[in-house]
Amino acid sequence: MLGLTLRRERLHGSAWYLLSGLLLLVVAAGIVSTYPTVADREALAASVNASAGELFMIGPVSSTDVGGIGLWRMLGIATIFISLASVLTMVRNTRAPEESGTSEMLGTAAVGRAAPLAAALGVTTAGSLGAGIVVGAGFLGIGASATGSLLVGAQITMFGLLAAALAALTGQIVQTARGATGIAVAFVAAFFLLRGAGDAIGGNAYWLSPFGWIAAVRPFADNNAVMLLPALALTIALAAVALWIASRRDLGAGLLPERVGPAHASAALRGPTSLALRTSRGAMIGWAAGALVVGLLIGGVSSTVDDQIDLALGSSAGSGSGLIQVALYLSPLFAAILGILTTLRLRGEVTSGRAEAVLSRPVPRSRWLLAHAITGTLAGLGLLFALGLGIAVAQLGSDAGSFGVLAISGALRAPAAWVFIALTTLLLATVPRAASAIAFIVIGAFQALEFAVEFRIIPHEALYASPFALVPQLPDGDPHPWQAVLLILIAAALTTIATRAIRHRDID
Amino acid sequence: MTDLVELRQIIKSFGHARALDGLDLTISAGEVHGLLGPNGAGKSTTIRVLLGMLHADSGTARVLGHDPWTAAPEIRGRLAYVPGDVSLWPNLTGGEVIDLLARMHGGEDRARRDALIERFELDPTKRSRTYSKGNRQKVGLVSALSVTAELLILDEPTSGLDPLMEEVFKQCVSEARHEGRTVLLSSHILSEVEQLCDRVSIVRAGKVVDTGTMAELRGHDTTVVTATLTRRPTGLDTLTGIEKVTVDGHQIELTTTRFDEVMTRLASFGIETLTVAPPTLEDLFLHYYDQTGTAQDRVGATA
Ligand SMILES: Nc1ncnc2c1ncn2[C@@H]1O[C@H](COP(=O)(O)OP(=O)(O)OP(=O)(O)O)[C@@H](O)[C@H]1O
Ligand SMILES: [Mg+2]
Repeated sequence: MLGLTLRRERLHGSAWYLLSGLLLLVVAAGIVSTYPTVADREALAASVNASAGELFMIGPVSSTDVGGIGLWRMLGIATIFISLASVLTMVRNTRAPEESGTSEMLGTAAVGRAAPLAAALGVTTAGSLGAGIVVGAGFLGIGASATGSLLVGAQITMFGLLAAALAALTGQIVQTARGATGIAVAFVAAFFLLRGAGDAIGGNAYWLSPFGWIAAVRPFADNNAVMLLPALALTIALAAVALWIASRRDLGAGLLPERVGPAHASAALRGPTSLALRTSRGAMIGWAAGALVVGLLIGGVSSTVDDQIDLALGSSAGSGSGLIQVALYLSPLFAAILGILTTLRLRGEVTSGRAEAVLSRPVPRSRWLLAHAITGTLAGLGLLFALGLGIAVAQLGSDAGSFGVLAISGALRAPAAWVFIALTTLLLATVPRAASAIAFIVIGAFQALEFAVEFRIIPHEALYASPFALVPQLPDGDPHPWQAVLLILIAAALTTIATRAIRHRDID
Repeated sequence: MTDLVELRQIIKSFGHARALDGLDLTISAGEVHGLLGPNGAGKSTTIRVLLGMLHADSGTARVLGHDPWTAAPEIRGRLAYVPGDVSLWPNLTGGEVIDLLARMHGGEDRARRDALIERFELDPTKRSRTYSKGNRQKVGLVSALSVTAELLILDEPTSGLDPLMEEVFKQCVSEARHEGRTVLLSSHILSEVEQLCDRVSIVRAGKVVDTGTMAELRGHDTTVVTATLTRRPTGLDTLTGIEKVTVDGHQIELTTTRFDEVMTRLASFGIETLTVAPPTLEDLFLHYYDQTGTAQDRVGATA
C-alpha cells in the first residue's frame, strides 16, 4: 500500500513539497540580499517589531543575523504552503479515493482498513522531511549558522506533520474530500490568524496557536528545540485518533450520520445559476464567515496596538502599511483564489459527467458557463465584503466615523479578483484542461511581481500593472475610480469573449 | 414516416484515435431503435454528437430537423437523455435533482414524476451521495421519463438495475412507444434489445456495419448446419457460400445461406443426423463483434 501510494505521489506530492521548500528559500534569500548589512537588518527589525501589521502577518524578528531575517520573512508563508501541501496530499490519498470508489478496488486485497491512512501518513512525513531538508540546507547555503539551519528545517517539517495529522483526522470524520479539505484548511487558517494575534499581543500569547509554539523555537536567537515537543505531541495525538477511527469505521462512511433531505426542490432551485450557487453555498458562507472573523480580529488588534509605522516594504502600494491596510491590500488575492476555485468547479462538473445532465437539457452553454462565473464573482465579493465589515465593526469603538468607508473598503477591491475570475472563465471556455494550471500561474506571476518590488529588483511603479494595486485603496490610499471601472470593463470583456468561445468547444 | 435522427458519414477523432469513422444512422419517428456494439465501438460518442456536446469533424447530423451543434438548446427541449453512468450533485437529494432537471427541461409534471418514483421504488429524500449505482440510474430514468419529449436517448440506461427494475424500465419504454415517442436505446443486453427494439443498428469501430429489423439482420447471417455423415466428407472447398467449416471424422459443422447446394453435397456422403439452427441474436452479436482486430482497424484507419 505504501509502495503504491509512494509511486502515485512520486511526482505530484513531492513536487508540492519541494517547490514549496524552494519558494521559501527564494523568499528568504531575497530578503537577505535586500538587507545586506547588520545595520540594515537592525533597522528593519526595529520597525517590524514595532508594527502590529508586520507582527500579525509575518511575526517578530528575533535575530538580526542572516538566518534570523530570512526565517522571519519566510515563516508566515511557510506555515501556509507546507500545511497546504500536507492537507492536499493527505486528502488526495485518503478520503478522495474512498469517495470516488478507487479504494474499493484495493479494499478487497485485504490491505487492512487503516492501511491507506498509514500509507498517506508515510508519504506526508517523507514530503515534510524533504521540504525541511531543502530549506535547512538552503539556509546553510545562504550563510546561516548550522544549529539554526537545522532547527529551521525541523520547524518546516513540523508544520507539514501537524497539518498532515490534522487532515488525516478530518478525512476520517467527514465523508467528502471537499469537506475534509475545507475543514483542515479552516484549522490551518485559524492557526495562522491566532499566531498573528498572539504575536501582535506579545508576551505569552504565542501559546494561542500551535504555529506559535513552533515559531517559539526561535532558531538563531534561542535555538529552543524543546518547543517542538508540544506540536509533536499534538500531531501524534491527532494521527493516533485518525488511525483509531480508520481501523473501526466502514469504508465510505464518516463519523457523522447521513441525514435525509427534502423530497422536492425548493422553488428557488430552477436553473444552472441557482444550482451553481447551491453547490458552492457552503464554501461561500464558510469563507465569508472566516473573513468576517479575520476582519474582527484585525480591527480589534489594530485599534489597540497598531502604531501605523510606515515600513519600506513595497507590497502595500501606497495604501499604508498598518495592519488594516496590509490586510485589505492582501484580501483581493484571497478573494481571487476563492473565486477561481469556485469557477473552476465547472471543470469538475464536466469530468464527473454532471455537466451532461445540464447540457442535455435546453440550457445554452453560455448560461451554464456564466452560472459558474457569477458564483465565483459572488464568492469573491462576499469574502471581501465580510472582511471589510468585520474591520469596520471592530473599529466602531475607536473610529466610528470611518465605519461606512471601512465597511465597503473590502468590497471595493473586488474588481481585482473579478479580472482573475473572468480570465479563468475564458480559460475554461478555450483550454478547459489547462485552465486551472494557467489561472494559478498567472496569479503566481502577479505575486512574484509583488515580491520583486519588495526586494527592489524592479521599481515600485511596476506594481501599477497589477490589478491588486489598481483597485480603490481606501480608507487611506488612492480611490482609483477610473482604474476600478477599467478593471470591471476588462472582466466584462473577458467574460463576454468566454461565453462566445464556449460555443465552439466540445464538452469533454 | 419522417426521420427524427439522421447521421451521414460522421467522423469524430479524439487526438489520434478515431472514435467515429464515417457513421451513418437513421431513426424514423415512432420507432424504438437499438444501438448494439462492443465496448469502445462509438455508441456513446454517437449519442454525444446527437446531443450537440461533441462537434463532428465532418459529416452531417440532423436531429428533429436541426443541426444539433448549432441549434442545440432548442432541440434539447424536445428530447430527453439518460447516460449510462448517471452522476449527481452529492449534496442534493434525488427528489431535488429530479425537480431541478425537470425545470431546466421545462414542463414539470408532478403527477407523472411521483408515479415514476413509485414504480421505480426510489427514495427521493436521500442525498445523492448515498445512492447506489442502480439508484442513481433510477434518478436519471425518472428525470428523463417524467418530462414530455418526442425523442428519448438512452445510453445503456439499465446498467446497475436489478431484474425487477429492468422489467419496469421495459414497460416504460413500451409505454413511450405507444404514446408515439421515438427511442434510441444503446445496450449490451441482447434480450432487452430483442424485446424492445423495432430496428437495430450494429456499431463496430466507429461505423454502423449493419442496420435493420431483427428479422432482416437474421437473414443476413448464416444458419448453422451440423450433420453426421456415413462417409468422410471430401472436396468441400469447391463449394461457395459456406463458412466456418469444421470436420471431425464423420461429423461436420458449417454455416451457410446456400441450402440447396450444401444439402445436395452433404446428401452425397449420406446423412445420418442433421440439425439446422437459425442464428440467435447472440450469434449475430458474435458474428459482428468477433471479427477481431477492432483495435487494428482503428489504428489502420487513422494511420
Ligand atoms: N473524450 C474522449 N477523449 C478521448 N477518447 C475518447 C473520448 N470519448 C471516447 N473516446 C474514445 O472513443 C472510442 C469510442 O468510445 P465510446 O464511449 O463512444 O464507446 P461505446 O461504444 O460507448 O463503448 P461502451 O460500450 O464501453 O460504453 C473509444 O475508443 C474511446 O476510448
Ligand atoms: Mg458507452
